[in-house]
Amino acid sequence: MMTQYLSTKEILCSSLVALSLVSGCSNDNFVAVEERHFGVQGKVTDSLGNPIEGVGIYCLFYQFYVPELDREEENAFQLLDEGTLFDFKLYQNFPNPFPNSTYIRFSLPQDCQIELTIRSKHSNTILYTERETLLPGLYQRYLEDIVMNQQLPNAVYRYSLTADGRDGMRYYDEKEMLVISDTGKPNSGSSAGGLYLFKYEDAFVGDSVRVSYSSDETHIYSVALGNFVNLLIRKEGYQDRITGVELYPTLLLNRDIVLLKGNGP
Amino acid sequence: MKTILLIFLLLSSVSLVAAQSEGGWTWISPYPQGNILYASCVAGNKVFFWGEQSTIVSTTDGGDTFIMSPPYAPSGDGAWVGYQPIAFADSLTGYLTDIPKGEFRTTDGGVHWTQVVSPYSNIEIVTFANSQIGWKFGGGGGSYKTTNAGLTWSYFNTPFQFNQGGFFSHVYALDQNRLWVLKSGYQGVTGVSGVWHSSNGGTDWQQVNTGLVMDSTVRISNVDLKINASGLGMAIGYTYSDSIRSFILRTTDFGFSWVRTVVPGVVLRSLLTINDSIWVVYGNQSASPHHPIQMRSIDFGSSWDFALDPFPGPYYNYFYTAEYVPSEQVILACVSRSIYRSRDLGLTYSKLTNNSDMIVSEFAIDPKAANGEQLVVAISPTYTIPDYLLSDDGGRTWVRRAIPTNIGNQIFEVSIADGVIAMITGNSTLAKSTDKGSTWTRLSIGYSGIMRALDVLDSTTIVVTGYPGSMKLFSTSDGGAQWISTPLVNRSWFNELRALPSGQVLGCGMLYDTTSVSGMLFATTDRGFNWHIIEVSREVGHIVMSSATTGFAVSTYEVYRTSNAGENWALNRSSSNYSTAFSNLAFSDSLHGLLRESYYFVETSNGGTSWQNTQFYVPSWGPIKRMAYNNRGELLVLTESAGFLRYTGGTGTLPNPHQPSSNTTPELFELSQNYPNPFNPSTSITFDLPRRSHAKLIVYDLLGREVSTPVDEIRGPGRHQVRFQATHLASGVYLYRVTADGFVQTRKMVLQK
Repeated sequence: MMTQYLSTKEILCSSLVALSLVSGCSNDNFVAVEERHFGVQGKVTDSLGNPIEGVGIYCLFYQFYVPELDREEENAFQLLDEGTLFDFKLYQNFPNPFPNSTYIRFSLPQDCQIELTIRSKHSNTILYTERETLLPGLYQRYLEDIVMNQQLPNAVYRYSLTADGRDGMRYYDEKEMLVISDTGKPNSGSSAGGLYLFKYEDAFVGDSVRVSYSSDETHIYSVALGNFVNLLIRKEGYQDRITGVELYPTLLLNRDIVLLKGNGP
Repeated sequence: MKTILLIFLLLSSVSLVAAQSEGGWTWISPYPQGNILYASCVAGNKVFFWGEQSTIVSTTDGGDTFIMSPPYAPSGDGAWVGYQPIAFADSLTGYLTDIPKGEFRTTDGGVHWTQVVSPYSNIEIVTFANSQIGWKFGGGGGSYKTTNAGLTWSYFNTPFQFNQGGFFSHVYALDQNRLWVLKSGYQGVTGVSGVWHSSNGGTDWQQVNTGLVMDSTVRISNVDLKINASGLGMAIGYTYSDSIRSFILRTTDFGFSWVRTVVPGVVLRSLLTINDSIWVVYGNQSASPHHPIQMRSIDFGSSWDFALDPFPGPYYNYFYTAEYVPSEQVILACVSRSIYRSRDLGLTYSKLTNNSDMIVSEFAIDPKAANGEQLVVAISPTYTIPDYLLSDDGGRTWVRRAIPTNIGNQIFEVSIADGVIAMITGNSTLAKSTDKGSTWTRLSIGYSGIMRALDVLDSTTIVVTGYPGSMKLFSTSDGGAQWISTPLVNRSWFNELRALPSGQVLGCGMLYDTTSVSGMLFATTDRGFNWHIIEVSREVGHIVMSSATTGFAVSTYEVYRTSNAGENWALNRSSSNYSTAFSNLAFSDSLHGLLRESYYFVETSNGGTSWQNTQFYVPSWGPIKRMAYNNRGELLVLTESAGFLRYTGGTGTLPNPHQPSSNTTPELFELSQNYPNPFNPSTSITFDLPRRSHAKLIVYDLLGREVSTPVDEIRGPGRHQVRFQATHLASGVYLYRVTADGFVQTRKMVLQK
């Protein structure tokens, strides 16, 4: 995807510079704020300085969908570990991260009442539940359009499998999956006057994501997400803007955004 | 280069022989059969061939038609490539030694064989001098003589060299007194090699001085010997030291003195004489490509005509065995996997086959075709040619075709429905034809992997799997214009796919990783987005549906059944050893089906809830790769040994279970008088069954003792004729009784010898 890139040097800085924490982002301005008031804020305007209301702000990876940081390959899909029957197992979803639909696989060694749920990692709110009685075996579930249907903003989610076997044994496992969409529900937006606030906690900084591109389960990459994120600012009638920003806890950065007339990327 | 050119010019020399019905079976391809035939013998006008996978093939008309007996032992127990493992005392009574499988005897001309000695008796060669007297020998097994056509054998003492290593390669009996035994050394010059002669039926033996002695540098293989009543004879063999040299020995005095001719560069295997006036020697070149050779002499070996590969056919021919049939004045030679015939006493040969001469690796039948217009396509193995056989009458008549070169150069899979033929014609090429193969279209899936496990449901729905990399299920519902792909388990191997009208797709195969393999049954309701895999202990080879929702999955030792379109499977039948292993099944309707277990079928008439034993078998070898009924109720069967056959029903054996064996179903049970009566030694007994029933035909003597049970099996409605052989019975009056479904009737017959 073609994106206009704003280097930190080009970013308009406000005059509220108080302290430079890290070299290389000395052009960013920040204020010390109360805890939970951190992230990045500013004003979205057009090239004439008119504020733009209702933009969508999406949190993306460093290089859009494809992470490049601290990649470490895992051999995560052990289909036939031991024995002849399938064990209880919940597999990494794929693709991960995903923009809209994903596959989840799990295996059951016996007849089970299962519950498959998806929860927000940070708030623990249950967003999706599926309950079924299933026979033993390996299952693939396709969560089609789940991002659009459940209005999931870009974030890390926990999916979990609870399986209650006929013999009274309960199995529970959970794994994480990451939604990265540029068409779903935005993480943030601009209000009247063009003001926006993107919260640090929406940026999944510090999370470790297992990246799985396809059903080739033998190759899963573990990616640790640093504090450098890209924000996509998108509004109908304007060109997309991506701005890279380094986020720190307890700091609120100021960054104003100018959108040019046009459409799409 | 000249040689190769010559071989290809001769390719057209093929004798079309009538496809013979044997016990209701018609061989489609190849014909006769496709196994390597290693050894042979002649008894009167009958020629018997013995080969891999417990094969016995015989002909009584010089190769116009062939009788392909059922295998005498289950395949898979290894094979012993003996030089002389089979011999007949007369046209009915024969003896067979196959070291890993045991020793066998037949009294019905080689159709049925009874094991009389356990495996590994280490008897290597056997022969008969006449209808009663015979001998058998083995390096580790000892020497035995029979005076009752192989019924009993008595051990006798032989020279110590008989047990001093090496192996017996041939025995030749001129009459019941005069016989010659040939021994050969092993590779690496061990054992004792030589020729021994007895002039009193095996009591005393003298070593024959052939002028050839095995020592620490020369290994000697004595291969074949023939000496006639006037003392004229020849022997062949080869020596191996730094190179292979064959020899032909000639004698005019019963083998007391010999003249030797050395033939370098060939390995001789067979020696024939035609009325002692023409002598023919066969073998193969000792160097690659080991082409067959023939040497023919009309002056008792003073001069020889040498022919390189006189057998027109594929480039890599190999000669195994040959016989001269005096009653028909023909030579039959087993070369590679075919039989060749010479009608001019060894000058020229033509391959015996029928008009669908092609090895078949897989076939597909249109399941819903209208009566009389049913498409069947059989494909050739990928390592041969992009040819296929096509029938549009359910497999009765066939034409051979090739796919166009722009469509592909090999055929991996085939499936048919609603007149649409789909084939995988290359690693990632899928093609279809809607006009019986006249024109072909390549379907673009946009996939560069390797496709396998193909199924066509109807004129619009095709499913296929692809591997490796990301294993996927591809499906189209518009005849192949648009495809969707969904992810499967990468470490899975799909043997078969079944797309069901209700939308499910079932699959079977195996799951594997570097250390283990297990079987799997796959089911999806939405073309693979959501699916369920059941793991089972062994690789599952086949899924056969008996109705829209009921189906069967077969592994070597298990049969599973689903009644809900693959949502779950229950164990239906299991086995524990190879001799009762399963290979495949077919249903003619939702209730009636046949399952191959060992080499007999078991049958069901209640949709697979229960199975009954039958005596019904396929006269071909190895597990069944695919079997299916056509819309006439005839069974098509393809075996692993590439025998492709059609069962058209017939007397004696079980026809397909739900079809009457004749158009007029009798109204009453009836046992008819045997014909002829009195008889010697065989007669035919006829009985009528108005419905399917367990029929028992038992023959008693006048004291009420059971002497034979020719029939004890479930038989369909119709007239049943049974040939009763009484060679083993004394003259006298016998009673025969049929019991079936509460009906009992007894009649008398007279055996007059």
